[in-house]
Amino acid sequence: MSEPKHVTQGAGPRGPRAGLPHPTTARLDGSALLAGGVLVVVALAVTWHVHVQVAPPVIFHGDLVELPGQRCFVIVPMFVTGSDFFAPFLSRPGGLAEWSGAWLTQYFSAPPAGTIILVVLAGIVCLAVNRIASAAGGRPVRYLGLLPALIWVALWGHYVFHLGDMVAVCVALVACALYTRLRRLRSRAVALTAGTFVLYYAIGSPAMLFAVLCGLVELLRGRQWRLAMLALLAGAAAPAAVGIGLLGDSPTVVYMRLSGLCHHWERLDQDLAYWTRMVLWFSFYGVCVLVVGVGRWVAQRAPVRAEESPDAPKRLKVAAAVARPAGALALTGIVLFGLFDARSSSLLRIHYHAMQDQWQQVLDEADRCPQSSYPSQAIRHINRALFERGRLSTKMFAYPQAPWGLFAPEVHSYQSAAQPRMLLRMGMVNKAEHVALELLERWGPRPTLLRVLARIYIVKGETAAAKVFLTNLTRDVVYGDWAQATLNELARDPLLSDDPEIGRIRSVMLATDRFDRGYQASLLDLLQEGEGRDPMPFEYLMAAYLLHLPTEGPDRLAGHFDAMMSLMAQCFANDKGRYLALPEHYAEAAVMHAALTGRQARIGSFVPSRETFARFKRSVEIMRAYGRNIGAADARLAAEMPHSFFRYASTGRSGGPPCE
Amino acid sequence: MNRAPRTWLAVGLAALLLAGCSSRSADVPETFAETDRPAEIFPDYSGCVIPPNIAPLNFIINEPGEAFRARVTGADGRRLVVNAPSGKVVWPLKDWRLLVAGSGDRSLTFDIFVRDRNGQWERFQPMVNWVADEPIDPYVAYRLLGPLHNIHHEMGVYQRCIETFEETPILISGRQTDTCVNCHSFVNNRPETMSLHLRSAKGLAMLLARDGAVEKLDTRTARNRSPAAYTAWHPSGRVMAFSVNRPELWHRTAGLSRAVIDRDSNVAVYDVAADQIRSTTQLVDPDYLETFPAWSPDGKHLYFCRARRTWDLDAAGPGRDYQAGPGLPPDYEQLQYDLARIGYDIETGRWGPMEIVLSAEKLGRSICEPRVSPDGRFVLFTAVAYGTFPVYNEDADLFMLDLDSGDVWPIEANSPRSESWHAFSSNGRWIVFASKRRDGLFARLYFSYIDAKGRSRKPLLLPQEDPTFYDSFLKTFNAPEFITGKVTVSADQLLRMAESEDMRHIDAASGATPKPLPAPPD
Repeated sequence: MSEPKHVTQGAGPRGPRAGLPHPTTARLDGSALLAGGVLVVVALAVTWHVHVQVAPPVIFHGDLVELPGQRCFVIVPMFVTGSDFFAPFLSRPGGLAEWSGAWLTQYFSAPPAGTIILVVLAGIVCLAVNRIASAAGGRPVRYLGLLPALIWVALWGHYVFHLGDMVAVCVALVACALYTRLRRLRSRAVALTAGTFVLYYAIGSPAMLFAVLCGLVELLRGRQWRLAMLALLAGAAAPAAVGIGLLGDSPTVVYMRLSGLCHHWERLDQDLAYWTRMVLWFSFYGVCVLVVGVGRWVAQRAPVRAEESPDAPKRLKVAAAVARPAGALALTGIVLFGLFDARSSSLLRIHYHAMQDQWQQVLDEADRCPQSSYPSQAIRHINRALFERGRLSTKMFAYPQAPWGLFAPEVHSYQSAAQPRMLLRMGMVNKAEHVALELLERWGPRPTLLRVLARIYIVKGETAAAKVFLTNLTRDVVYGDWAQATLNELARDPLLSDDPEIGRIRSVMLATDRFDRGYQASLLDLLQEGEGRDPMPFEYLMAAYLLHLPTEGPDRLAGHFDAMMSLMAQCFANDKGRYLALPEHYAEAAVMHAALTGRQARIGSFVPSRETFARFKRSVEIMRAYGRNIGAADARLAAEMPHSFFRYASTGRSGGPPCE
Repeated sequence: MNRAPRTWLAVGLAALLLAGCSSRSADVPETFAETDRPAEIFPDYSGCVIPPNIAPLNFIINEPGEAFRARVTGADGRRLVVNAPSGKVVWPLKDWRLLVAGSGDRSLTFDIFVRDRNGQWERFQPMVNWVADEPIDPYVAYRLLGPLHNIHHEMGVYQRCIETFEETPILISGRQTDTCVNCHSFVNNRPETMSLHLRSAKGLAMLLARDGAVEKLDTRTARNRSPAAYTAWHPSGRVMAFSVNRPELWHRTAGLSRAVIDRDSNVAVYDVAADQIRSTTQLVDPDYLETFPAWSPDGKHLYFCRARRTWDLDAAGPGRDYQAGPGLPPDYEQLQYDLARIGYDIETGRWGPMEIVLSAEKLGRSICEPRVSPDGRFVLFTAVAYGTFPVYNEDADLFMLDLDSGDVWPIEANSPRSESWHAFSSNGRWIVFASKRRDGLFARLYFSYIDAKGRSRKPLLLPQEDPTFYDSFLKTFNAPEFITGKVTVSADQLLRMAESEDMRHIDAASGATPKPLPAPPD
């Protein structure tokens, strides 16, 4: 990302500085070296940021993740190889940029490739904006190109970008930078007109950005009013002619396509922050060029600045030389550390690890950046990780919980493929099928969904149905090989009898056909049919009882407790040494039940510890002491027994202090 | 939104891209070894009776080999040979048409040649099909949706030219409109008059397209609070019978995952000229569920299915998981529908006596979706173990009832999987139906020839230009209806009206004793 070396272009003879040696020329060597160094530092910092913090693989696998603010992460477009997938892109303006963005996004799955793509894009934008600004301003404006590049980096850190939009804007900027190299007026007129139309077809409404920037450059550089007007006309006419006239699209669509705004058009009222960001992002370049051009005009008429005068004190000169690099570095720091959305990043990482079955990493991430509340999807990941690590019955309330912390509501937009995967693992195969098919309808044939659907139908022995999903998946850049290998396996063994996980699920799956009565009933069915072979139904059922306890009315509380105690008694009686002691949350529930009913708190041969009784007593004292001031009571309980079920049962809250 | 230029642009570009893959004319190998079995091909186009106006029966050869050739020979000796580089046999449309049209009521033979690694050609046993004399209606209209029916983000009703591969939308409900479109119905298979139902957040309505114009109607009245569902046009086009249903989706814990329960239903007619809805006591009997209306071709009888309701509409059954509402009706799995009919005089609008045509008890199954053949002799219906939603029942089979003799039999075109949503062609010689025979999940359209005795022949999968189309197509076909031409209103017209607030309410006028009619389903 080096600065252009020509430094005197456009310095007119009419201004007050005519005849003076250009100040930039005078300190070219030292300041260029400094600028080069700064740019290298910034580039390295951005590369680190993208690679480590933003983490493209997390984005790629973060399909359908529920993020704060009711935002669902669906910025990874679908992409498959083949002409039938490509052809529809050719039939709409901006389709080529969309297709390219979708294609490039696939490489986010490979850690260095995704980072390289994003950093190279930032570099191109930096160079292009420098070039355009130089042309408009008559001389290079050092570090200016960093601004748009850092804005892009900030957008990446907020996980709100669509790569297709960015590719389109990048192409528009590069096209404009190339345009500024044209010398002859007629060539420029032709390039401007034809280029806008061609670009509109290739990149959608960012072609208007190209036209506007070219127009501004013409206006600011040589006061070519006619060309500027032509640019404005071409920019306005291209979408209308191609989009409305030829393809019959609506005006909203043709002027918004690939502007970054079209993705949330229908949610303008709900997502104003996103809109504001994207409007700023889209209009930034024009403003940038305008400011530079006007700056040039002002500079030509203003007296020479003090620090640029040959008589200026050395201190002033040094300060001036250092100010801009320092500003660039400070801005980089702000973008990389201040504007980064750590919360969304953490949620995406939790989801990423969950989808890879990296359960310890899920917990590590939750511990690294604890949050006061999680979207229910993240809670489900954490609870699953706790179960897989054998800690669901002892550490569940060390994390924020919610009633939907085990299973998603069935009609829920923000489910990912994780939900049917978990249901499949547990043996609720039909439920997994239903949820996965709903997601397929809602989000389209996303690879993670196709993969889990194929597994579901393989488990059910519906090989032909599984093949339909696998055949779709063979054209996926990332999962294609896996799908083809599975198809080959199915050709050899249609039931995949040798697959241990398929075999395990078949051994625990619900086999009795009855009308579904909900998750808890299905868990009970799994317990009865599975005869305790799989601990998951028991632990999830217990967790469900614990989670729903605060929501039960007083009239149903005793029944709820009774069901829980009966379940525990039954399972611990049949337990063949899985539990060496009564898990802490179960012990807490037993103590509460004993207090409520006056019965013994014994479960089989297990008795809750004295500490558990003491903690319960203390929790009752705290609740009595604070009366209706639940907030204060919760603060007290959180301080004294942060991971306790007693706290959750009393206040409905759980989890440690957040890192935000 | 005008989609035509976009469609043509896409088709043109796709055609250009695919040009390199298409088959080219070739000769069969001069020397080859004979194999004593027919080749494995998909779709299985062997031993079928095929319409003389069908699009090319493209198929893929599922045999190992380095090179593939296929030859089709008509009864008049005319031949067509194509190279199939990757095993995909794609017949040129124009040549195919000439060849098949010249083979009416005669055989059509496929020969498959495969070259092995050693360069040796093999010829498989020829596959012989029969070309019927009677043409099939040139278009079939159907709904395409995801393999579930409770949410809908991308669904549409399409029309496919059976003589070519052209598919065009009748009405598409995208993510923006978020509308469920269903139950399209035509008068005597003619495309000029069509009704189509909409279920959306904007309202429940019926689109009525007649003579190039479209209007949006609200068929709900004080007597029927739910909108029209299953629809059947009187042959005169003056009256439309429709059912009003209250379906609920339930899930099962093992086996097939979904089941639909129709909690309440009845039947009424919409008199188009009088712009009134009316019914009769036998069609809105408070003790019975009435559904699936179908007119006899002479218009003198309205066939429908009925079953005694065994539950109290207001009583709650076992609790539900996630949706508010009463629980599962007790003994629902024993509920079976009879086939009944009631007389009707189109001139006076008077109803005649009702009779049971075929009882579920006699058949041992529940009768759904009756369709009367154009000659009035046969009733084709779907039979399932219980209930009224055969598309989710693996045991759903098509049965033919001979109204003259009273004989009833499962048609020969059935499979172990679900068959449902059937319709007769206008000449009565062809049926189309949706079958899940291939994978149990995705319904595909099949045609079958019906002879004068009502016997069906081996069914024929709706041909596609790319024979591997069905290997990865993630939509399910639903509610096919033959039509004799293209629908005369455009998709734009229908979409505009679907999104319009301009809806006309129909009055109720009935001599029937009203019963508490179903509330609108979700």
